[in-house]
Amino acid sequence: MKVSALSSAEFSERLAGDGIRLATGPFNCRLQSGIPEITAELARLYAHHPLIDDTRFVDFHVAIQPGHGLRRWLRPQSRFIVDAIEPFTPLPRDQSLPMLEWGLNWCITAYSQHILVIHAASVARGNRAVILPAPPGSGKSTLCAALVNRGWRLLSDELTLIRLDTGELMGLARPVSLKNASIDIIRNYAPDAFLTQPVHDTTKGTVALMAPTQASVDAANTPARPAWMVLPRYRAGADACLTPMGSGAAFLQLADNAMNYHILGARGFKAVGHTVDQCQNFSFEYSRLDDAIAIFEQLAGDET
Amino acid sequence: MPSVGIRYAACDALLDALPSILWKSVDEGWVRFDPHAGETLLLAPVTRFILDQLSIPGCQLSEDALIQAVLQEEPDADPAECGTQVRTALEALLDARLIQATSH
Repeated sequence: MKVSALSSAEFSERLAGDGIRLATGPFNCRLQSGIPEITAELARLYAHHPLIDDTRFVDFHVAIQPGHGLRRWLRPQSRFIVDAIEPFTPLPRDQSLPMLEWGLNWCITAYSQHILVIHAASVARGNRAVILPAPPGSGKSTLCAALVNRGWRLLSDELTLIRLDTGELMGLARPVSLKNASIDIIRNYAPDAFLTQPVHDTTKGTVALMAPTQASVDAANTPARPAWMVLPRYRAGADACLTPMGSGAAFLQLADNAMNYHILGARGFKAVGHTVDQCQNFSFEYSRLDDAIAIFEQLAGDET
Repeated sequence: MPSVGIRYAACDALLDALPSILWKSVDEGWVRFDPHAGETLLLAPVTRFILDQLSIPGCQLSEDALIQAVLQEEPDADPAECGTQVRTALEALLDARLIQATSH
């Protein structure tokens, strides 16, 4: 049973009560919230995710709740809570949805030491995946959202998960976080995609969340083999251009962007090395999404 | 800056870490990972060669001796180019604090 099978009244009641229990790839989450204004958009963002029954183990019990005391009425705030702990300072209440997504990312990063977690987007075509590690502002999420709306499967726009035993990528298929100019770019590029209303003045600027495609969520538990590592960089006016990257430079890119490489030690080193060996590695400059998509289609087609 | 009259030797930290160092061959040379220091370095082949030469307890070698060691491995190499590569490698290893320079 999927989240979309719940009526809006049922969804609201569960969210405000015992919580919505759902699976996002390898993680089971229980979401609770006493902030009714996020309910409708949250239901749309997670519409395709499977609900899990009450007997299943839950990895993260998270909640977004209103601020304490006067903060309910004076410049209202939201608090992120995981397993009864508040790891962050509260944020303005209108940032509740982005806060939930940032908080879930934090949970995965903080608690998942059985997999290699890389700060990178990843998408797949068939069983082959492209990893897109890049610093903020490089156009990573924009490119990821565009690819997902042109037939690529979303694994994750923020955290790429690599199994230590098989080297395969695991999908999360959670909402894509779009920032600033990329919000309107993706609205125009993919008018059918669901985007939340923009939230202004966050630490990352204006943020909107894009719902993952149903195909991505349905296939979230299907692993993908890393086939390409592409370091994207948006540059206004640039022609789309892939440039081969040495495996040593690619290794450093993945290691630098890995959240738990040092914690995993030798296992992290081997996992990064294995990933680099499996991938063709490139840097990629682009400005126009259609050109970028064509390059990725060519990349995927060349190996079939 | 490496110069005449100076000898190079491994830092204690390098020798202590030797048993646990992991290496991976890559297009540009080698990736060296020290799990205890949490340090990952990308080394050119000649840089690893020099590091290996110096990774013997008590070993101290001059720049000339290292150049000769490289030329012995690669007899066809241009000595001037080889000298440049060795000096670059020594600077990289000094910056990474894997080796130290001592005056004699």
